[in-house]
Amino acid sequence: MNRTRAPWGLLSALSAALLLSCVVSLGIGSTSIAWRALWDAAMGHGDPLLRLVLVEIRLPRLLLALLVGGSLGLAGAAMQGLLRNPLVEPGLLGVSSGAGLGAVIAFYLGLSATFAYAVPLGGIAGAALAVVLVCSLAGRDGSIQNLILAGVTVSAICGAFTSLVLNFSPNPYAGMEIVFWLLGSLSDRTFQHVLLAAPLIAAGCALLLGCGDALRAFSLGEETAGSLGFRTGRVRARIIAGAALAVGAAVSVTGCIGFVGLMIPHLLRPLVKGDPARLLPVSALGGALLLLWADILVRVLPTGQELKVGVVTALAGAPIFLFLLVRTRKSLF
Amino acid sequence: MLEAQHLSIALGGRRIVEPLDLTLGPGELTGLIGANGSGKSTLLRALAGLLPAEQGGVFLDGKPLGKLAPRALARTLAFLPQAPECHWPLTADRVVALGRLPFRGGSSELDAEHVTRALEAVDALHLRERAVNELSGGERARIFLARALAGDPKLLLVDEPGAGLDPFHQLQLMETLQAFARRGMGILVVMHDLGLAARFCSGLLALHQGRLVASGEPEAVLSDALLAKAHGITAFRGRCQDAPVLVPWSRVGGRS
Repeated sequence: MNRTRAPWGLLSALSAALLLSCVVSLGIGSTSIAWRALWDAAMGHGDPLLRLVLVEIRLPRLLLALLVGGSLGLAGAAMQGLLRNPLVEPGLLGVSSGAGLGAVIAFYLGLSATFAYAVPLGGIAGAALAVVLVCSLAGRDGSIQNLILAGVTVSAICGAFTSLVLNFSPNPYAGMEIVFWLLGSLSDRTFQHVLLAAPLIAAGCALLLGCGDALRAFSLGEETAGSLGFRTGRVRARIIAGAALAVGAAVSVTGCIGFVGLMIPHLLRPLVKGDPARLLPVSALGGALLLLWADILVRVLPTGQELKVGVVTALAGAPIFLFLLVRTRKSLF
Repeated sequence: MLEAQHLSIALGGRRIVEPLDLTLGPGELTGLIGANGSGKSTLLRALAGLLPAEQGGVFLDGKPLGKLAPRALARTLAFLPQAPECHWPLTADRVVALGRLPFRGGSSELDAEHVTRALEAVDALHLRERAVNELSGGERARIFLARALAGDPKLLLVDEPGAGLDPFHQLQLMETLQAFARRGMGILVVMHDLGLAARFCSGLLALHQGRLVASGEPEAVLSDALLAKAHGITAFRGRCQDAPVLVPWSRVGGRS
């Protein structure tokens, strides 16, 4: 038995599926691109217009789907491992609602019209402030219960202020813009959005991926993890910082995309036999795959108005949880 | 050698353990006894370096615990809490392998060897592929003990490992601890079963309202006066196969 063995089979299968899905994602949209033309455009030949669509529209969208989906899945797995609760989602500590509020304030102040990156920068500032507030409310050696309570409090405060801003939105159009942004979307994003989010997401993911052994120890409770040689306060701070960076940056560029961070670790956990360390990379790939397909679905479904990807993940998440509930009840009775 | 020198412990501003001195040496199986709320678990956690001392300190081979790197301490001293649990449905061998985390980065073959040996020691090798949350209470207790033994520690601190176990598994557990103590491991075990404490332990420490009121050989510690004062009971005494037998018999009004 090798305790550090990675689930190579599962990782390979998910990576292969992800690679295939990337090709599908690049080929699908309002302008259909044939496989041959796709290949030519990728090689720098062919129709310049198609190349433009591919490089300027589809590629940033694809990269954001991978980054945001991956970070939500990974942060969800890490937070569930830290709090030892399968129903925790990465936004529990107020990061998502803080990022949402920051972005909404940027909209409200009209900064989005004058400066293209006001919304994502506002989101990042909001996420950072929310985490600082949660950590100070929970106290220096705050217990897990204090952290959750502080997270719920900060989420509620941010939610209330978001509603307030919506209530006083200068005009109905601005209000609609805010609501649509909050629903979560990958459309109309550029390489600048990718460049803005990618370093923060990469730093957050690096922090989280290095916590596998600590999360294994946390399976036995925080005190036992301490007796196994882990500085539990540092591990907690590292996971909170990692999740805040990854999720804060993700929400800042795409809006709130729910259920990915909750659903993916939950669904994939049985495939890694409950091991919280092996779940980390698997959840990152699973989250990226789910968001990529949700975004493909948004583009192929013939809806009159643009369907937001956050709505699709929420619509997919609810029945999956219903299925899990029914399965659990069947196994109990 | 684990030593507590003038150690007192406070939680939330309230003193739980009054200043005391104790030592735990290699090859000793020492029982820590006392009524509920006497401070046994708090003392055990402080001895494991998981709670700070209010006064005095805990020393491992002469060095204060606070000065040791957590990982170095974890390689020498293992701690098994009261009612241990695993929050995810890991297989038994993976739970036992968690005991090798202080040695992470080392040889995985060696880790596997230690895991197998620990499972064998608690007679649970056949359970290795089973999810730990699907095991019975007795099986789970053995797996968690194997987790603590997998690091091959010099010192083992265990908090009520026999709680909730049937007599068969309680005897099996004490025999396992005794066997490891005979091989040189120093073991401090919190226990409520005075009969098992009298029979299996090489020494006892008795706590009463946070004070260390007696220490030494089991038969000397478990005097009628101590049982009445600290536990509020009298006991039936006897001998069987040259081992002391002690059965709690009746309550007395002298417990304070």
